[in-house]
Amino acid sequence: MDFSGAINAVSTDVQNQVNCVLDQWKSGSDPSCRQLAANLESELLLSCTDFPAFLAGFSRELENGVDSLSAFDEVCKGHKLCGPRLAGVSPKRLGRATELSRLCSWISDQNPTMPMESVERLVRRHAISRSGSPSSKIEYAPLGRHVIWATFRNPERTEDPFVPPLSTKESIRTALGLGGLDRDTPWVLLVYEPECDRRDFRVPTVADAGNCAYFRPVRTTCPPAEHGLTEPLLPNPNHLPGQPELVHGDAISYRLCLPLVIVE
Amino acid sequence: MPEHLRGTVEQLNAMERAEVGNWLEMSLAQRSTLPVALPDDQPWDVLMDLEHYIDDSARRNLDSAINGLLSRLLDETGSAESGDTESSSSAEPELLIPLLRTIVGLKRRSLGGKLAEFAHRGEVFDILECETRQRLLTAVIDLRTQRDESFWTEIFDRDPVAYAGIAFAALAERDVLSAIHLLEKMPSNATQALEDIMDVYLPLCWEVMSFAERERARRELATNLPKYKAAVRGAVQAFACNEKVDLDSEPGRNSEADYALIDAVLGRFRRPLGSQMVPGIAQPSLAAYA
Repeated sequence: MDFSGAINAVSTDVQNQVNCVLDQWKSGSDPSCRQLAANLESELLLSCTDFPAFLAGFSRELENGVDSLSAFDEVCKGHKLCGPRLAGVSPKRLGRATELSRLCSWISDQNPTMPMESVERLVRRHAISRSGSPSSKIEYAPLGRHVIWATFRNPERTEDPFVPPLSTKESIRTALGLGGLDRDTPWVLLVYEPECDRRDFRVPTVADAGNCAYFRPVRTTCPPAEHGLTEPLLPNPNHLPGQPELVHGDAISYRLCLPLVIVE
Repeated sequence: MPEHLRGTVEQLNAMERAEVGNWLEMSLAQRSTLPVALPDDQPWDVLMDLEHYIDDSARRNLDSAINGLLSRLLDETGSAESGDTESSSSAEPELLIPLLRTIVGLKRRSLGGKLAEFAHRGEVFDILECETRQRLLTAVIDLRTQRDESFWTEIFDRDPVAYAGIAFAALAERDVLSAIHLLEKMPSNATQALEDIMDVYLPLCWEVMSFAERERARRELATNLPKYKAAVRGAVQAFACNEKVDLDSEPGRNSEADYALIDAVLGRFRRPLGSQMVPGIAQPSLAAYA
């Protein structure tokens, strides 16, 4: 369902409240808010049930008196992983790039007794060699929190996503649209083999992205989108194309490929 | 500066000190929204991002806000214990855990002493939830707070199941042998701590130890193995197997002087092998690859 269909399916009060916030975001000075408004108005993949419910929930959160961004974030939490299922062959290898410090932070979430310095040393140890048995802390390291975003090669869905030209920090940052990550800190490229059903993979929607302004919704449903697509950052001198993306929950089984790749 | 941070950086730069305190508390409690780089970012991730770009005055205000909030939360915990006020546990761990993670992420080392002193006040410290206590103690380590061996052995003795891994990590930073001594007192049900020690801390120590240091540690483990509780003994043996450490060989077959000589010889040929791969942290010596 598109935005106009969804907004017409809710009460006038909800319409007014949502439109009022979107107008504020669009006319304000914050580029992130402008992008969130554009994303919501471009969303196509939430269902006929979910999209109106999403807007009604947004309105209810606003009535609670919280600021509009908090209200939006809150309603997004209730509509995660609601996009359509990934189409086509299930990818055998998924990838996610993040800052080393963020991976350490995810590992620390699960290990409150481990000093961060030990976490970082452990991660780096698993980036050196494949020899010896890996630590369970790394073998089963979290890939993120709650909703995991991943990219994959298409149409060669059995291959590693981080191969040239996506082998340098700058190219990965550009192609995956990771404009919020610091290019001056070490990054880690996580590649993993999911051990789950294809039905666990979803095409991302605005609700999965929450307040993250680097997300772009799928642009068309004719033909139906097989997967999401990242928006490369400008200036993109090498004309890197957008990369396929999907989301899945954090409870799936997977095998992390070792050694890890750290890009300093 | 990443575009999504610009508005909040400008907002922080323009705030008065008191306003930053309020903003920090609201942000850590997730009652106001922070500009995220990734959809799953938590407040401490964003605060680390913001800290790079705010001006010096805002950074001082943020430091003051962090310091003030930490003092308040610790004081409230103390007051709750003495019955002066209603229980403060409503603010914890909602605020204290995110605050501790922020302090560690921003490397605010000056706050380590305050945390260590608080942990030392057993009766007050113990009213915090277990995860909060553990995170507070790991923060003491991450902030490189100088505490002598007795501080950590006392922490260990208070609750070996909850603190054994943390105490081991802290002691191992300065002397692996003193950390290994803890194994004698380690209870069998300290499952998580044993896993942390044998899977993480001891292997990390092992890779940066010289041959002579490894031999001393090997002897210590081999000699005391029979004294360990069954679960501890099993974990030590699993570690030895994994790291190819021979706990059965005759103590003294090689003298420490022999190992010191090996280290010295290898040291002559040592080249900065690891620094290219793993900058910024202690590197395994070339001996580790011999």
